[in-house]
Amino acid sequence: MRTIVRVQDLTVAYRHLRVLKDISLEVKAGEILALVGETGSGKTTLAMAIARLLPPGATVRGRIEVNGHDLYAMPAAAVRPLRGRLIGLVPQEAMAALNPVLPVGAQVAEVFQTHLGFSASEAWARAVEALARVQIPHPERVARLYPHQLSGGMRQRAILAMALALHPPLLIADEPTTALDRLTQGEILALVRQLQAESGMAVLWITHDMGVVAALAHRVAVLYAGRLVELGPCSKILSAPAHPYTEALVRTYRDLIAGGRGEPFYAIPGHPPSPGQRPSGCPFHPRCPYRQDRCRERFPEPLRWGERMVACYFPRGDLG
Amino acid sequence: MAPITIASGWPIEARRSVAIGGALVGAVGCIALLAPWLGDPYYQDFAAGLSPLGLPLGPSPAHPLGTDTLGRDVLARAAFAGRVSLSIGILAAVLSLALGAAVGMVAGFYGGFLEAFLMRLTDIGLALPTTLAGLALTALLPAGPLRPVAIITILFWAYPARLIYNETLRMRRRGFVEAAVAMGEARHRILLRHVLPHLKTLLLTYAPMNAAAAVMMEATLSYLGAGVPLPTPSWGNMIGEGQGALAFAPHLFLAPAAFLLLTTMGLLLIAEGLKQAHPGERRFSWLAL
Repeated sequence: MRTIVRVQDLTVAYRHLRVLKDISLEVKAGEILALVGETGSGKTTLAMAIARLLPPGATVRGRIEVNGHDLYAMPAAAVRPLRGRLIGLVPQEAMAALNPVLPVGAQVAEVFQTHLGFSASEAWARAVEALARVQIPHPERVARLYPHQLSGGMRQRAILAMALALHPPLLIADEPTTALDRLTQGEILALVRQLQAESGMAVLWITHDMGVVAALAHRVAVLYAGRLVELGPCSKILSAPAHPYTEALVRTYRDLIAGGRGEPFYAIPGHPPSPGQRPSGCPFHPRCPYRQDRCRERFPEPLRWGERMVACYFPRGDLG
Repeated sequence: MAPITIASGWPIEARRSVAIGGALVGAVGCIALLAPWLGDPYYQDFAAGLSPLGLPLGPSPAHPLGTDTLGRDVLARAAFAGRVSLSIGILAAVLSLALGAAVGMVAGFYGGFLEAFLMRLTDIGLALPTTLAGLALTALLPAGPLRPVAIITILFWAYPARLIYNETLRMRRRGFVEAAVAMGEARHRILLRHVLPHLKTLLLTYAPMNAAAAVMMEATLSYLGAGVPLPTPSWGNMIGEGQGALAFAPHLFLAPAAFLLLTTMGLLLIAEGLKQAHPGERRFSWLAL
């Protein structure tokens, strides 16, 4: 399969604050990669770096290619027409991302007017089609409604319609279902899987919810304190996590699902480090039950086998 | 914030204020429009327009608001002055609001050097003592009917600029602006399509206050002899003329003052009503003018 996103040795910093360090990963066409990590681990920064949407103060080193385009090698004015066409972005909060004073149809139509130069009526017709594609019932009626008249799930669908309007080869979704109830979340995930299978696009799905990962992803990338600590196929990572942090994440999730047997829930001891005070060596070592002296000194070289990668001196389980 | 809706959804106080204000402004406006049928503002009727002692006449059927010291009909002059004062005031109000909104939007949205430059300029505009600066500008600018328009615009644009700047700044960080950037929309299009609609109610409620202040300012300038030159009547210069006759013919002073009062009161009532109809927009008071 074609590689849609290629990130090589990406380091992102704000002055002396290093948010991401040496990230390398790929997303292929027809694949959903889940990006997992705690708050502050750099998930959103990575997504924004791929779309070249980081705030002006950020320094970016390394190489990012999206569908063969090196976005950082071209002038900013040349990147703008590619957004929306090359990358569809679903932001975290659908309510905030929709303009409260414009009907949703007008906001979807805008994409067609901006990128394809359609007339207002043509763009409107296409917007109604786009809304129908994300399975919004009565799209021509919903198109005329304002965001506050829609339910959370409908808003999320409208945002998705906007992001997918131009059939981009890459969809980046930043925790889009976090604010939704489980049932609606399930519907949205099923919809994304279906649309993805139909179009063969690549999806980068940011989440901290292992349940979403299990339901949606083909592959998983685990970020901790700005480092990529594990990468591999979803089923393998969930059944046999190699990094102690991934292991802890999976265990927390299992406890939540199985829960209520009188045993205390498992929680990872300590707190995730803030970007300003990241520990030396492997950043997970202060919270890691398997740590030894060398973990404190140097970040481990990534181990690769098969389709998997782990950055740990003492990986869990059988690496065969 | 809902889009501006028809008045039927507004609270009763808001509708009442707008209706009364609208009626006042409308009445004054009608009189101004009918000016050519109310008599010649320049015709000096020495035979029947003055008392045997040569003094102005009080109200009578022939001259509903009396005559002035030169035997001219006060109603005709006040009506004609209404055309002059209202057109100057409203033109200046529209121009200053448009200029201020443009400056505030650009400064608030694009940021950087443009923001620093435009907002320091705005600070200078806000620091000007209006009357004094108005007189100074009168001396600097060429005379003509557009001079008071230019002066009022220069003196007034900074207030809406500040207001719109603050609001735009708030909008710049909103999710839908970021989402539009992520969808590849051009900056200027985001400003016009996404930010401007949010400023609509603010602009709408500010506009009548700005117009009231502009009409007032035109009267001030003309009263001081810096606005519309005589013999063209304006409410300001009529008040100035009438002041000298206050002791023996108070109607010369009271008639234009009443027109001015009704106009500003009407505009402020409209503004008050609009403010009540959009309770989210009470971020300023007319005292700030």
